[in-house]
Amino acid sequence: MSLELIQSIVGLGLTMSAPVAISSLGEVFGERSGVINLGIDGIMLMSAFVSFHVVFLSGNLLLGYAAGILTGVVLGLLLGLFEIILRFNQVVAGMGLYFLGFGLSDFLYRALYAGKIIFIPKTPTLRIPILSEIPVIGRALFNQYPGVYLMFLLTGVFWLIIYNTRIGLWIRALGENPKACDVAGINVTLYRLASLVVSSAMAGLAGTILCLEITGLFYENLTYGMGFIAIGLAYFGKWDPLRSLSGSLIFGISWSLGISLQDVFIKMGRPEMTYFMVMLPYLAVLLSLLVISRGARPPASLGKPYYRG
Amino acid sequence: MERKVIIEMRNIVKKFPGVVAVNHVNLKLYKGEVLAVLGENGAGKTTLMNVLYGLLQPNKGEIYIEGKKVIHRSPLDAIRNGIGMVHQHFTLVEDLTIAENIVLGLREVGFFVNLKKVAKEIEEFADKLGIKINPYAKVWQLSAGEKQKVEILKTLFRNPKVLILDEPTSVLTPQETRELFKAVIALKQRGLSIIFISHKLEEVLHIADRIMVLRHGEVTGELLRDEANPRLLARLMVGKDVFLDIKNPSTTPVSEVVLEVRNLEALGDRGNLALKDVNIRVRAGEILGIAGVSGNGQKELAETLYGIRRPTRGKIFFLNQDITNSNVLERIQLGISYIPAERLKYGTVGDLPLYENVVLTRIYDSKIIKDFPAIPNNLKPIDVRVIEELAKELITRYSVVTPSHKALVKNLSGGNIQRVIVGREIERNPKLLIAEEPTAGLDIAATEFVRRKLIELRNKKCSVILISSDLSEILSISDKIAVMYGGEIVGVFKPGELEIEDIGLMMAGYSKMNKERIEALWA
Repeated sequence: MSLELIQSIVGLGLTMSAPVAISSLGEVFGERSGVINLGIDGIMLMSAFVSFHVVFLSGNLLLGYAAGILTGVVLGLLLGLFEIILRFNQVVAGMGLYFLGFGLSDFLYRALYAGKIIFIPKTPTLRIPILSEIPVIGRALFNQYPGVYLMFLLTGVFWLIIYNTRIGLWIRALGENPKACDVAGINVTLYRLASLVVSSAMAGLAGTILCLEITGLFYENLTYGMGFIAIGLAYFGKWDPLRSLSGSLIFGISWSLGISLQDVFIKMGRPEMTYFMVMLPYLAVLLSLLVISRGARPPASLGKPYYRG
Repeated sequence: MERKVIIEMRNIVKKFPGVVAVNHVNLKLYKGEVLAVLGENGAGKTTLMNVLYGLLQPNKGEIYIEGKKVIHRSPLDAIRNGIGMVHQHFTLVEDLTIAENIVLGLREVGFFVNLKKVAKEIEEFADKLGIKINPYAKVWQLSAGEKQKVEILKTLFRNPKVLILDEPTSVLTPQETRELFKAVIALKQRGLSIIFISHKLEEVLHIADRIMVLRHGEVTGELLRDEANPRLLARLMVGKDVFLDIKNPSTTPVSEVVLEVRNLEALGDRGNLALKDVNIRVRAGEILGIAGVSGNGQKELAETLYGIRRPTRGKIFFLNQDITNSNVLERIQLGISYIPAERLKYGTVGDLPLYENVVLTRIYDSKIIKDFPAIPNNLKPIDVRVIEELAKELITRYSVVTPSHKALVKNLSGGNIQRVIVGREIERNPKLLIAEEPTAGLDIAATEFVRRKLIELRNKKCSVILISSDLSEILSISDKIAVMYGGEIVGVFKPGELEIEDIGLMMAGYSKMNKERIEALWA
């Protein structure tokens, strides 16, 4: 394999990692406070559609990002109403939100665009001067879409918040023992809601990145279940941002590896193997999940609504 | 002398669906005093304190702090008004360190927490109070007594004016209790006002300046320490004269050995060695009391004997038969009964009606299945009429208070659930009964009932292993007593042979009998 091929596999891998990594980061944050967000994939789809629509109408990419994140926030508040305030079963509520996002994004796409493939202007890559000149790694790492830089930045920020700040301590304690937080004067409902909204906003950002940086178009089920991979990666990472990032990188790299191998198989005259290659990243994550998450201990009150007294 | 009133609660009413938990209660706390609130479980003590601490909102009534009316919508309001509360059940995050748990309640630490600095402050603060802690230790590694210290430290670190202690001694050894009392008195002398919640008469008489007694949510008496005596307090608390001790004319004839345990070892839930080289011998018609602070291997011992935990070493013999590898059903059929500590979790199925719970541990019994030829026993239909009859009989014989035999068990009170379990296990005519914390959380009447049943069973030549962290219970009805500490049997003796202090030292791990002496006492 030539150096150039490796560079392009790594570069594309990082690009593909970003949406998974960022939504997984959100899931880690939410679950640390004891709230499960199974609606991630639905939020990603909805945000992807909204950002697509906004960019199509306005041509303004920044507006697209803002609309995508806002969609996440709104859906997060909706999910919070059911999961935290009304104390519905969190698995059922999350699945409900997934189907809502899946169905509504597809419905709107068909209603407004008659299901036609329409390309919108994609976000350009950001070349970082000097750093992108570094031999071997420079091209793959520093001539990337904004999502990739955000992925690394946000991982660091979340890690810092979770382990080094007061809010982070509260979030960690909330996931383990909300009663202890309540008697310490911490508003359990408020902070759980806040962390669920942050988690949904991250999913919103992830969906936006997928649409505006990777595909540049929208169609039915754009995510291909990426949101569920992100949930799995929270377990894979044992609820640690750095570990979950490493899982996302495995996903992204095996995805781009699969793409490159598709070409190889097509040249070999075995086009049916391309479907196998599409499966590769999911298989890679599933297998590493099985191995690594064995014995992972989730936050003690994950998924349990809090009742006083 | 006119003393300053620090807290006044006026006419507090708190209703829950179906019950009035606190009914027009008035409470006054003076500066620098220890006020004991005495009452049975369910008398409304904790509810009253939760109202003061902002965890519950009263239906009626007002709270005044230093003469000023306050409304506590959440614990944060109470904390801001200088109230600190140590809850009966620990409110610590097991997975965090001591320092992190204490920081959890602090508002003045800023966005980025400098844990090292705070940890040092905590250590110094603890030092001043004469408490030795490692602020970086994770809470789950601590013993119950240490956790209690962290709870108190956590509360005091916020420098409250009023300290509420809710049943603080329930998990402590006698020594730890004494230490706690010393600390309470020292805090009082520093001007702290303390509310001490308890259902233990001796403790209240020992520590309080004033005593308020609650029964069924109402104040039945308010008296100064010097006006009180045990008999009077018990009457106020229960509403009738009670006998404070059950007399137990112990006989212990030399009879056959029912259970013999040799060199038993087993792992705990965290993979730690929870039982270390345990040897036990129980004879027919004998109550063996296992004393110890909970969490020292008692639970694992009960589970290993009943067959729900596998031993990693050692042998268990039941009537000279090796049952080390028998499963639970085989042990049940041999005549081993078990009353687990967690009534609703392991003792019953809360969402099933009472009559089905009554046969949970006798599904093998041919009496309760309809006879169909040529069908394996497990597939034969259960005769519902028979089990309904069994349940009705049990309800009468064990005075279970329930709307009907079809009521869901989770809707019964703790005492009545325990009556169902005790009845179910005793009606099977076991040869060995393992009773784990059989009276924890029960009111006096139910406690007395359970203890009496254990003695009756003993008198019918059944062996009983009574595991309890209530030392007075062990001392009052056991024929022989073993003390467990750190997964080991550290002492064996008969009631009256040792002073409470010596037993306490063994429970706390400070002393230990030598192997030969223990071996001799088993014989």
